[in-house]
Amino acid sequence: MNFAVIARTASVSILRNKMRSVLTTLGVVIGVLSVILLTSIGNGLTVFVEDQFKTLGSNLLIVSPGEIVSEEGGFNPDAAALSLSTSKLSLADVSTLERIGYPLKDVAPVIEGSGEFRSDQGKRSGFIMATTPAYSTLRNTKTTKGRFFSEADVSSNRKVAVIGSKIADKLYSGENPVGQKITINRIRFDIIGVAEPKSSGSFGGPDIDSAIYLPITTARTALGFDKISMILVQVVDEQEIDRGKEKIAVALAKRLNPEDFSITDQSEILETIQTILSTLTVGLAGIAAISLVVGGIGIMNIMLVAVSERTREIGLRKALGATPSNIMVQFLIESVVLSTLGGMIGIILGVLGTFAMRRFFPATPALNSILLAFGVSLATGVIFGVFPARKAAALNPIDALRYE
Amino acid sequence: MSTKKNKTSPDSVLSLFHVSKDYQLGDETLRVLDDVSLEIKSGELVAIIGPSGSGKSTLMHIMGLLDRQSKGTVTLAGRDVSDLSEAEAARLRNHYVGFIFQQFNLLPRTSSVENVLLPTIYNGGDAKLLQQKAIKILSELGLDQRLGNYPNQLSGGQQQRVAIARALINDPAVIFADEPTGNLDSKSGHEVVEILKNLNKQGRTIVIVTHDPELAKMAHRIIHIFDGRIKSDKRKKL
Repeated sequence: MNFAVIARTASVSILRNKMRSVLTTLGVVIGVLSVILLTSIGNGLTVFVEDQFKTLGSNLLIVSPGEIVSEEGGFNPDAAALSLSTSKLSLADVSTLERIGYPLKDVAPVIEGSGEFRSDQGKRSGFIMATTPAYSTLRNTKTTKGRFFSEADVSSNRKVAVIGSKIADKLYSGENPVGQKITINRIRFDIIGVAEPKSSGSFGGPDIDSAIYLPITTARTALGFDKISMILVQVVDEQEIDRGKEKIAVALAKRLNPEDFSITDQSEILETIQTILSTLTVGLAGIAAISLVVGGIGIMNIMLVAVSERTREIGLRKALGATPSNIMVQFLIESVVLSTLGGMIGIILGVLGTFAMRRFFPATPALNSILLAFGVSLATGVIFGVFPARKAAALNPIDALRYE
Repeated sequence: MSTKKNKTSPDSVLSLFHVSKDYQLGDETLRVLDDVSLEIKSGELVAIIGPSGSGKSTLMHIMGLLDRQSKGTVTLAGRDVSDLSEAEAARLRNHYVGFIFQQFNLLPRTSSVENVLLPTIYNGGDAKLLQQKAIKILSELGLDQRLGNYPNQLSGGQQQRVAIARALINDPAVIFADEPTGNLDSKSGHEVVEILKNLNKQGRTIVIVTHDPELAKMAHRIIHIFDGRIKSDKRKKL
């Protein structure tokens, strides 16, 4: 049997019924397209979250007020909201942690708040992070212009501010903000630096590029911020994370009750989110796969039509020496060509669609989902092609030749 | 199953020994062929005639390995072909048997040359040589101007000539023609008869199946089938 000739026969018969082939293929195109788009969304979300975590800094432990993490290990949102307003964490705890030394590297308390920012160009409301200079090393916050505030700024309550890149763009467009004034909740501050942009787009969570960083002491005295929202602690390396956690817990337990604070490790959070997102991705792909099955049924349907339309041709081929397996291969190739053609068109459209979607959503095409989609479309052709092909192969040549 | 030793003469192409064919119709068994024995020799031009329902088509199908007998033995080119798998039968048909049908049975939207080449795709061979051979056979049948035409661009007589070329492409040991002129006007029918006669003169073994006594007159040997039995088997004196 000449494989190339049989493959050509299949493509000739596909081209013979162009409209029918296009419509049949469309089912697979839509199936593959939706698998790729939906996995791209899931994949994009995962990549986005991982990037966001990277910008937070590495080997980070977060000490938060109250029982954010319940005893069973789950996240406790009610307690989290309540504990922010009743935070028992204090600057004394910060000094306690600073005294621990190895394996802790840097300790930075943060008071989060919001405020209204004014410049000569207008006003804008945003997010305030009152902290210490250690924060900039911990969270990898660099300045594009000017500098981050220093220990001296903190200890002498200076009214200085480091503004996020978006605030610089909006309130000081066309000017250098460093050296100018900004009014935060009616108090005037000197701008000493502009923070480097952290993320290209914003998708959920606080927009860190629209935040203003203030020395923690100034925020307490001038703006009346007092409840510590969290204490960020950096551990020297990954292996020491557990030991770091333990040391922090022991040190804080001297002054606080165990339910007054909790320590979370960002890798745990990241793992949890990754698990959720990968489950989500699989779920989305599964839903999309249903349309692929429908596409496969479309192929089977049209192949059954092709077999009965070409009964005489099958009889003739058998009379002229085609074995049952020759006939089977001929029809299988036809269905596989239809389905993989649909698969390839679906992949091209899916990748293009993903890039189009990127303008609104962090979608990233995943190579493995593309390969999988192609494999599945190929398998669809084989699985849904086998039944019609076997039917064709089993035809009796005499009956088939007499068929009208 | 017959256990006696089957003797075939050295120039035998095809022989049937006590072949019967039964069809099961519900509870009844219908005997379509009843104890038929015959031998086709190389170079013969044989006509099998009989009214419809006489079993002549079934006989042709068994001789052409399209169907299998219920009893008896069939040999083709010296080989017992009584008990072959479907794939083996297909391979032997491809090598040893050529078919010409009443309905021509050409593939639509396929050129004359490609229709002729159809049997060769199941046995391989040098594509270029086969193509040249197909063109040569078609030209000998007067179709050198119709090589690239599709069947719907050909007259009935031309279509049947393409089908004859297709039956010749693998140089079969025997060619079966099932009512080859049945769908043709008398002029084209006459042309086809002349072609078959010529092919026989060149040494081809041809078996024509027909109900038309006029067509049968061209043959050197006429086998008359009636009610599943051979009623007469007469050779013309040459």
